[in-house]
Amino acid sequence: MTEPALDTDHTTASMSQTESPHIMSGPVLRIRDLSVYAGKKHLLRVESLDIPRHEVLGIIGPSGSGKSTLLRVLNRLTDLTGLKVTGDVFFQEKSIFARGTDVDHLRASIGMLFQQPVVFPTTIMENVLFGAKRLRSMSRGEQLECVESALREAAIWEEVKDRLKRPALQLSVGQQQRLCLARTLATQPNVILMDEPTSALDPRSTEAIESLVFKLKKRHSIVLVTHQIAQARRVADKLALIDVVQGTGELVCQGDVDTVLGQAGCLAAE
Amino acid sequence: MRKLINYLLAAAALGSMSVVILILGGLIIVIAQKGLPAISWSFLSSGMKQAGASGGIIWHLVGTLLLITTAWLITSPLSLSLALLQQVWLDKKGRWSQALRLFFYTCNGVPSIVFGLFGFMIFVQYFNWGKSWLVGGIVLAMSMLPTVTLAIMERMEAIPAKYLEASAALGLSKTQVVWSVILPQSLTGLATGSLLALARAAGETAPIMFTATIFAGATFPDGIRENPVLTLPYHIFILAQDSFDPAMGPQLWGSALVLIALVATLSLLALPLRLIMHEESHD
Repeated sequence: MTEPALDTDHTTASMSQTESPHIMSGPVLRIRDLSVYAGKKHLLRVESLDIPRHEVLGIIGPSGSGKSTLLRVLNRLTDLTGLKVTGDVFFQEKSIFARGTDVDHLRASIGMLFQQPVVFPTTIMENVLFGAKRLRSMSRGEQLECVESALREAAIWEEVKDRLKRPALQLSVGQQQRLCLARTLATQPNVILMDEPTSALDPRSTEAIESLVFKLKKRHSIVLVTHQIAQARRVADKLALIDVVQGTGELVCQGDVDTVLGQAGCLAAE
Repeated sequence: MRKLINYLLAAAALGSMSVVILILGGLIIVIAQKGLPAISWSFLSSGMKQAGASGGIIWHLVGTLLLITTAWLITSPLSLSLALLQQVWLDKKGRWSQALRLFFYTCNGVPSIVFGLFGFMIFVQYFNWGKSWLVGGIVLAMSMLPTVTLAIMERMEAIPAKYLEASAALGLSKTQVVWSVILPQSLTGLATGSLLALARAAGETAPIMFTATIFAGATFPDGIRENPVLTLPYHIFILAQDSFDPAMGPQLWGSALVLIALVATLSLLALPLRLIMHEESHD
């Protein structure tokens, strides 16, 4: 279970929807002295990492270094897995581990797209509304509006607009991943965590997701875990490199794409 | 040598299957041969006459269906709640969760007459309800509870973790995840568990013979206290004791055939649901 971090300045529980000017300009998420343990095994250590607002932060690193675990810490999905977390993460300047934090609201504000598309065995429309209609009350008209706008934002509206009542499992894998993105967008998150979202997709679907990321960052802050250096170079504004140091995943380098991937960058120096 | 072992193994499997089919098939053929002559519309739609020597079994059918329906209505919400408690709210690897599971596996092996004795002591004697259809329903529910709860637990365990993680990642609360993901996916477990347990409960005599049923003189109950019902298993039990009387033969075998048909129908209804469940869990 996650241990609440010692956080003397953040006693208020809920995440405020209205953002102060100071919060609007700073990083959307700040990670400080974070460590994740599975039993006694130290899985991941991140001393300090800021996630910029309305930009794409790419996280790269070898398999098993803890990139996906880091994403799951940010919306406290680690609570479901029994991993122990120490240190702190601040979302809109409030600790996500503060006592009384509304974890469900936190997860709705920090949406997630998984490596494999997770489509519920129901219709396309019900999939889009799966979270949204349970998080806020919506009339039938508002539901239809929500479905259309989320599907448009995920660039799949034209492909599915005539078969919203058809089973979502009939879609191709690439379409399913964009449907999952639409479902996440329908809950109106501030941040979208993407855990290797194109690893199961063909090049065309990958291109579609990548071009979506460009559009989405105007309204959302994005954290993208990727294995592909080329994708990181194409999509990310900033990069963080996590490597395995003495058996523990550790943030070893962060900065602009050139700082990390350039000829004199830390990846080259490794 | 390997081929020989393969042949021997196949022969052993085939032999075992043949023995089972012969026993079960023989049983059904004998009961059908002896019981079919008794089956008629009047047998199924009229009440018993002459202490079972003539007449029909309508009130026995009604009583049996009333008991198993009552048992199902009591079992379903309890089983669902207990399975949810074990799967969702308790730590699955924790002591309480393991203890609960062990408790149900143990209860599954308790002879049904023990539940009958418990019901007799508590409801018939202590609460002074006398023999009552409701006591029978409660006692049968107790005997069904472990089977149904374990079936639902197994179904819940087969729900892909990705659905639970994806719904939690959307910001749904635990209760919303239960309603939107866990319950809809567990309904097949409830249906199959219930039908299998009901099929078994429908044939039970021991738990209801001193809590809910009498041999003659009851129709549809109009209250709870001192309101027993007629049931097929108990009817067969009593007629079997008088089986030396030739007049009882057709009535006995006809009743047995109807009971087997009822149990078989419930078991067959469970089959397609089990297949759906199997396909989904291996998707």
